[in-house]
Amino acid sequence: MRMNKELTLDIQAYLDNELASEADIKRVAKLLAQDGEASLLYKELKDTREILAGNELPAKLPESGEFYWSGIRRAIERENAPRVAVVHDTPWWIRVLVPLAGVACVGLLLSGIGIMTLGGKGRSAYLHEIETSIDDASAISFHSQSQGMTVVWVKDYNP
Amino acid sequence: MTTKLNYPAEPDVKLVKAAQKGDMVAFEELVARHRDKIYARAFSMLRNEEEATDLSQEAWVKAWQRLVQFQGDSSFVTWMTRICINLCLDQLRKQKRVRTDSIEQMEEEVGGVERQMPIITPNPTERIERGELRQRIDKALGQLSYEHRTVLILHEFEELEYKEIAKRMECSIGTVMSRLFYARRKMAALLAGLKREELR
Repeated sequence: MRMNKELTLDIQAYLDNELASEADIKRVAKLLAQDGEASLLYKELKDTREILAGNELPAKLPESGEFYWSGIRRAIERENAPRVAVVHDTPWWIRVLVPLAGVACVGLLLSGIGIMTLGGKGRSAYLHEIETSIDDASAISFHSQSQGMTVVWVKDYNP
Repeated sequence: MTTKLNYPAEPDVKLVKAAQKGDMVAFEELVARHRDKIYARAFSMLRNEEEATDLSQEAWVKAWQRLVQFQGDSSFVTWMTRICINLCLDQLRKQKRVRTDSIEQMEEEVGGVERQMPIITPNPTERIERGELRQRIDKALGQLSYEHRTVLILHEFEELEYKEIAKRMECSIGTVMSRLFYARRKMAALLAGLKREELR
């Protein structure tokens, strides 16, 4: 008799005592008694099961028991640590205002840095701005960034 | 009045009761007693020392958290092993999501390959040293896909029924039966193959 998938699985279920009904058990028992191929398959499955039974390779931890336990204990302590609830006792408008003030401060700081780090042109333009109250006078200024020095020449056209 | 426990001498049941009340020393003793068995189960399923160590530790942490749920319906070590198996299955499912199945694996899943294999009759009475036989079995288990190895482990070593395996592996009983059938036939072939190799 040619065995189909259902039959082979029935033979296995018979071996594992997993067939649902008495009728199924009798049917498979009869098949095994009459069919050589079915009987051979049953024997292979049974032998394999017997070889495996109680013959699992025992494995030992690859690290010391103390080290292993310390990992478990730490994890348990972490899990058990009380979680601190955040309680807000400040009014809502302060909680809103504080971050806004922070943003404003950062903005001011950045704009200050922007002025200080402007290119040579921008910087000398800033430093060259000279006010004079004398109508008949002109001024020329020189600034040396490396020496940190500024020289201003003031020329008076009045004799 | 409470009596002081002599931890190494106490049975599991007493240690579990103490641990359920928060006695960490009692729990440490349980870990020391069963750590190798729990690690071995994780290793047999994952086939990776580091993963098996981490996962078995995680299983102990979970056990501590759920200790109050343990009613003693089974032995402590059986309960503990079940926790470890569930974590292994979760881990394997995660790994499977990022793995591409080969055509051979897909054929194994739907069945059919195992029926084309010639019938092999390993001789269980053959005189092989037990340690050597265990090594051979372990090597053969390592050659199975994780689905087949898991079904075989759960059925042959953990002695779970088809229904229970299907529940844990989140598949149908029919799939469990097909996988178990394939795994057994492949094991028979692998063990017979090892014998032939040795004769050369």
